Amino acid sequence: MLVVALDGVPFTFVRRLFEAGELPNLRAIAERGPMAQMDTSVPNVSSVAWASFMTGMNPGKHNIYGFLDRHPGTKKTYIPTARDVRAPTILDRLSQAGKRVFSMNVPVTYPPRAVNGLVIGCFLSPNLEKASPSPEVYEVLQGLGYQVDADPWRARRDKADFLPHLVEVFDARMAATRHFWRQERWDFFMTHIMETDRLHHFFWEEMETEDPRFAPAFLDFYRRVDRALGEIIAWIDDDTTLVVLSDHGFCSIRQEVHVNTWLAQSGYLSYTTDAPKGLEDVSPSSVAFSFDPGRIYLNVRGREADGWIEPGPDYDRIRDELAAALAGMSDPDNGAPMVERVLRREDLYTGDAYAAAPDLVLEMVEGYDAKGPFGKPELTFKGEALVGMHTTPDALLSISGLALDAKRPHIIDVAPTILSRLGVAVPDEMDGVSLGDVVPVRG
Amino acid sequence: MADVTPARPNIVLVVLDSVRATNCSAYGHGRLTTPHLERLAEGGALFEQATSVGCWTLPVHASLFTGLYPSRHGVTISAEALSTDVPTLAERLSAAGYRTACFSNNAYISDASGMTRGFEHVDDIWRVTNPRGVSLPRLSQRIKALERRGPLLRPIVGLLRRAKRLRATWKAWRSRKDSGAEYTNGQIRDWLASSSDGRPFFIFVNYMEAHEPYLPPYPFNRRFVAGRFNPWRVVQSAGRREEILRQDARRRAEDLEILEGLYDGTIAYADERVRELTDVLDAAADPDSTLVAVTSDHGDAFGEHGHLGHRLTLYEELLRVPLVIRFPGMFQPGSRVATPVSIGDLFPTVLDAAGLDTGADSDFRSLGHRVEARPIIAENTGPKSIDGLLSRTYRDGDMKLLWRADGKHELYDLGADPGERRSLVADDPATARAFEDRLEGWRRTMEDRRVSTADADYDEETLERLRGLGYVG
Repeated sequence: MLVVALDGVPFTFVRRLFEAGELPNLRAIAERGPMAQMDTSVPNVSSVAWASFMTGMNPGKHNIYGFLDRHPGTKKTYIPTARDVRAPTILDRLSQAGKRVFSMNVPVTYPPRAVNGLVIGCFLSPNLEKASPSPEVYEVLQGLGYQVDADPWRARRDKADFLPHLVEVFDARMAATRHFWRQERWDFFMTHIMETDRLHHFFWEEMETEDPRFAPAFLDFYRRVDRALGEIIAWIDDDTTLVVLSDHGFCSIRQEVHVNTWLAQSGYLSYTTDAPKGLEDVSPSSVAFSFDPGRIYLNVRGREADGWIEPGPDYDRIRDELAAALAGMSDPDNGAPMVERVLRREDLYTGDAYAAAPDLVLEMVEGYDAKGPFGKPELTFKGEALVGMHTTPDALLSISGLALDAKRPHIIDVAPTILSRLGVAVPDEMDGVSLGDVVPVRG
Repeated sequence: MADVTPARPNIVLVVLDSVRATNCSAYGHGRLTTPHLERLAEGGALFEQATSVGCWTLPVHASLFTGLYPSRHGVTISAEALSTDVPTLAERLSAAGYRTACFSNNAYISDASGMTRGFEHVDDIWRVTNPRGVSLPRLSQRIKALERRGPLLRPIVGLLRRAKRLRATWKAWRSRKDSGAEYTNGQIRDWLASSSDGRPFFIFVNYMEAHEPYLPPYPFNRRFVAGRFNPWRVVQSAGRREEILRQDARRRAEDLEILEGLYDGTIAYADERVRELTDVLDAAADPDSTLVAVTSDHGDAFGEHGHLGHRLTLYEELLRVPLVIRFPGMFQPGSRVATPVSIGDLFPTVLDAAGLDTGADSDFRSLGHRVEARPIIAENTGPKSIDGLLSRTYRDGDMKLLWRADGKHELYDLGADPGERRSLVADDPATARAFEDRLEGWRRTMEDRRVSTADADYDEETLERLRGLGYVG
């Protein structure tokens, strides 16, 4: 089985390009395995979505809720990595079943752990050496010019300069994919392309507004990805199942919304200093704080460092009040509502890692990107560099030989489908449902 | 010239997670739960009053691996990692030329917590075992798929779930599947065979068999459960937790009887696997030059003090654990030590046996010499649940102070009142006061010498990239 992960590529956008006669190779793939629009995790950021993919479970079980989290009972924050994933991934399960597995760059696989095969760490790796499972693999990757991730600061300084850099990172990723695909006959081989997501973050709006300089470059990049897919199709035989998927959709940012600023302005959050930088500056009397994207944590006694809200009726009352207030958050420029829905933890998560879950999660109106910095003076912000944001319902999934187009899968359904295709029992604890028996396409 | 350095002994440290001393026949339990531990003790020493340093896995293992109290090593909440400044037992032994391997069924023993630092070979068995025992993947998948079709199907889904549970109960009752011990022993056997290169070995094993939810494999699941309880009844009790304690007296007593019967079954099964492990070890290396220590990280409560399982408290049902060490070069075969000891003492004991410096900085002492009586301290560090309460105990002789952060301290005479039913704080305020002062003195020393814990993986390069993407503020 060969899995190609295209980070952040939206189903609807790809369909639009098909209609315009673009992306012939991806279209061919979508014909062999009729492509479905797929729902993703909440929150819809890559760490959470891919951890859900890798485990087939909800964050309440795998414990990854975002790019940043706090150690329970402290104000210390950390970046969740593979170390924090509390459940076996499909790599573990396939290894256990004696399958040879390969995985490269799939988010939240850093630090790489021992499997029956090879894991090359993801964008959370501090550097290439740490992303590599062994000195030998490091040498190979270095020789191919492989990089862990494109440098976003180059885009912030100069967008024109970022594009060739992105191409270079993508080409090296493909070279490494080629190298390891040829190395042996893997039972499960997965490569993850982060560059599409990076392209979207910095150029989505330019593409939508048909910017004369960047819109054509945006399409060129997609054509480059499609050519790579063409090469991949040529590698595989009829017995190989090809899976192509993304982890969320994209749209243009209207405004970035500093949720902590709203909490502070509304009297729910205060700081111990005039220039707060992080969680450590939140004052003990605060009611709540927020982490990106739109995760709200109440200051609960016994769970947060200076928690004072008593679990039970007090917590319920305060959370209800806060949820109602958050739902009314509006754009200061024009009074437009910014929050679609306020979701509660019990409606989203279940499992052993539930205690660490956010109390509320904001589902924003499309275009309003909930952000988590502390101490920003302005509630909303529109920058020139970051122009694209994630959306939840618009990921894509295609599995060769499986007609998914009439279905509405969820990203947690992919792991059980992969296991059953490879003849490995789907454990009861997985939240996803296998999407059906895959019939190999012949001829 | 001949090498005069004496060869170092092999070392095997076995933790039977969640096994309390009172349910081991080696400690006088009425049911024959640990015949093999008894046999092991015949070849070594049994410590009659071994006490843990805490009441849950992570801080206790960190103490076993560092020779420091939880207040000092600082790993007191789930997400904290051991500071890289503190050398671990595996690192010390590795530096002395040992081949080191960690086989853990408990997920707290991981790279994330820093517990596996120093082990050459780390087998995260917890990643591949399914503690729930029986799984019926396809059927439950189908039921789940049905559920998504809408609320009208809810009664049918409910019915199907019930039927499925019945079937699962039946299958579980006959299942020989364990919580990973069998697989673990296989892995250890393979590892021992794979690369014996002449170096002595250090093996750490954690077996989760006796951990909640107490599902021993057939036939251990019925060995200690009275025949009048049918499988359905047994599974009903096994699936529930604290609510058992809130039922009427008769039902409550029955449920606790069933649970403890199952618990005894899990211990007997773990004991059987310890036998298998010792057989493997003794086949691989000379028993006289292999130190085998078997202990537990904490016990479990079965209704005592209003609790079930291991949560929050520092009463003896949580603290008192088995400790048996077989190493004829150091311990007289068949000896029994009545002096209270701490399982933290294992760290210097192992180094001592390996002929290494036991570390002047350790909070504990080697048991390889005459064991003097000294105060025994235990801590409940990180609040593990939402109403968690910090507490500590200080024991000198039979007197034990339970210090509580809310000021409601308790004092017990374990000789006259082993069940800790009647607090003597009001009767003997002088002892309570004195113990409290000594405990406070100890706490200050710990605080002064505390090592800072590591923020697992907080890398500037990664952070900077996430900032560039606007993911982190």
